[in-house]
Amino acid sequence: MGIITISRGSYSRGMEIAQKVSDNLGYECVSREILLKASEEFNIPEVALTQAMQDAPSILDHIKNGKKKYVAYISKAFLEYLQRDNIVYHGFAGHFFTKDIPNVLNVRITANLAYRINVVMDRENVSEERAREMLRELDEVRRKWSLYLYGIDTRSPGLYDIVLHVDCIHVDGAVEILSNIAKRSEFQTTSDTRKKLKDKLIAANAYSLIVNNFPDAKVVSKDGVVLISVESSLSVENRLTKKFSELLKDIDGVKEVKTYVIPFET
Amino acid sequence: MGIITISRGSYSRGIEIAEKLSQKLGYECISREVLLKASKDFNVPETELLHAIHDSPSIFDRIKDGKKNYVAFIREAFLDHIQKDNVVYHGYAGHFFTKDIPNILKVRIIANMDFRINVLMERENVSEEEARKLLYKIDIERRKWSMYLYGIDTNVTELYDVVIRIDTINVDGAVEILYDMAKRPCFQTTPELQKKLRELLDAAKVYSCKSNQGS
Repeated sequence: MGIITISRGSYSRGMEIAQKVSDNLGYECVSREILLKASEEFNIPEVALTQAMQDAPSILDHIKNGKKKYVAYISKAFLEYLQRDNIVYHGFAGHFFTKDIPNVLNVRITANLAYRINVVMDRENVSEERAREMLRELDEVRRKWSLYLYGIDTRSPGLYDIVLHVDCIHVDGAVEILSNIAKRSEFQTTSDTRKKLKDKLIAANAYSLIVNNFPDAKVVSKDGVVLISVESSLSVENRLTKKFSELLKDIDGVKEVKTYVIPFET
Repeated sequence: MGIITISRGSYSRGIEIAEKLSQKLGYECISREVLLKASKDFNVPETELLHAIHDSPSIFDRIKDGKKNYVAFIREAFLDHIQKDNVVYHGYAGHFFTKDIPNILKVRIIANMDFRINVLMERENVSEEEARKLLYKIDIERRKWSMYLYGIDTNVTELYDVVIRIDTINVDGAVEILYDMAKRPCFQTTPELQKKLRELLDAAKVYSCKSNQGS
């Protein structure tokens, strides 16, 4: 019983590895399903959500917080999926969404540039020069995206339990290694994992309901008690508390809503 | 038959992993031996070599290339040691010395800051604040050192076949994972690798001989 997130450098064959690991372990393999779920629930075209996860933030994003909104919806859909357990997720941001949840195995699959160039040339039928350029652009976009949303570079090894370089061990080697690691006791779902996942889902759910008006709000949940920190005028604290309580009252598992207003700088 | 280099973040229990892994594989575990050999062969005090491979470069180093010369001596001693095969090397610069050489398992062991602070506090009997400052300083030094000599940060994952975080996967877990990897065909020494290592050693000897004459 466990949860694995696989962050994959583009054209590093991470998708193939994720699928084979899930087959090996008898886990469900999910990726696009998350976007489809968010698209359906929040009535946003899948392509817009994909762009939110894939593209570097534009100036408009910085002003309108469009990307934050979409990422909040995807985060909720993602955390709902994880409640089922026995999941291998591959794709964007899995390691961000599961931050601080114990016993989740966070993996990064990388390959050296020459290996990736060959994969691009093979898959996209482009020249070596073009493949190199494509990878440079993709890597830069991913870096900007994660820096904008989380202040961290996706390539930073500290985000993962293990980083595997696939060009020498090959896909099947990586699958065997990861399947063995996933069976270790430290990566089995425990009652603590479930509790923290539930709280994380409550917080994501709450944030998705207020993100439109409060994109910079910080929402956390502990044992069903939701704390919303938001920058505003102190005079509206009571009004906000009532408003948030009303908005969040139907979320499964919410016991209480607390609001913490950080006064505007004067 | 194989060669493994382990680059370890300071206070990340990399030595323990290297020793346990070498025992399990029946390989020789080396680290300081390389410095001792370089010290003897080139008649340079071990402490000077240690400074060359540990401390960030001074302005003097940049002008005189002193550090580069010493690192050349250490590289030669390292290449000489790994000709024997069945070796686990842990310590400075192994991943740079073996960069782009296939069939050598290149490992990096890391841990999050809290874990490293706890290890340091326990080992050196210092406060949390002191431990944090010390680790910050060590990390900066390492980064400057590798950027100066190789133009790459030691933390860049592309340098390694695997990076393992020891605060989530414990020492015994890391040893098991690395043992499994070391047994794989792609990390077995081949005649081609042996030939390449001999050529590299020959080239290193010429280079350090020139460095020695120049210094």
